[in-house]
Amino acid sequence: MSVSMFRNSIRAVLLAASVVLGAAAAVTVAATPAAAQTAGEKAAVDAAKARGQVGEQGDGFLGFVTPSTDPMLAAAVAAINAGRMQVYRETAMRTGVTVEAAGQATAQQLFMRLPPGQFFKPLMGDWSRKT
Amino acid sequence: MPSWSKLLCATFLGASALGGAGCTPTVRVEVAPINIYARLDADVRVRLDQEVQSLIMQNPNLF
Repeated sequence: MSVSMFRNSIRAVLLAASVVLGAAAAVTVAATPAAAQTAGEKAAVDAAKARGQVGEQGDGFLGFVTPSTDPMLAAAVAAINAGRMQVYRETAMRTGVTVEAAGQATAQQLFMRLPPGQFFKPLMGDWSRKT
Repeated sequence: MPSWSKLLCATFLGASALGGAGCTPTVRVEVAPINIYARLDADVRVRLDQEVQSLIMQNPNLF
């Protein structure tokens, strides 16, 4: 009796573990297409940056210099910002700093790389055009 | 009956603890957003900058 109960509990634990592993695998699979999509989103955002509609913010995220009426562009900006948040989180964990610090450190380098004519917004300040 | 008095006592203690917490002076540290990165130790900042450099290189779809 007790042996069969023990076996049942083992079975239950194994089942639970496989369910958890399966869920983790599903999440991984689901994450892949999102990453693949960003190529198209990047192109839309790059065009908007070239137009001066989207710019780089001091927190390491993209922002709208002028409000957008295009829901596709808004979705593209949101998707890239979500992807950035994820890599900032990873970098923060690796280097032992806050996510905010990782984002701000990235912004510093993005400002330097920004092509002239495109917009950036320092943490304490307004949008300005890179010269 | 004794359990009631215990409960009452616990409630009173809890309330006084809350009251005490309410009276603790709150030190508000308003750090300007820029300072989070600027205030890092120099060696941490150097390492972070290196990590960020490869981060930008490795994620052409995000940057």
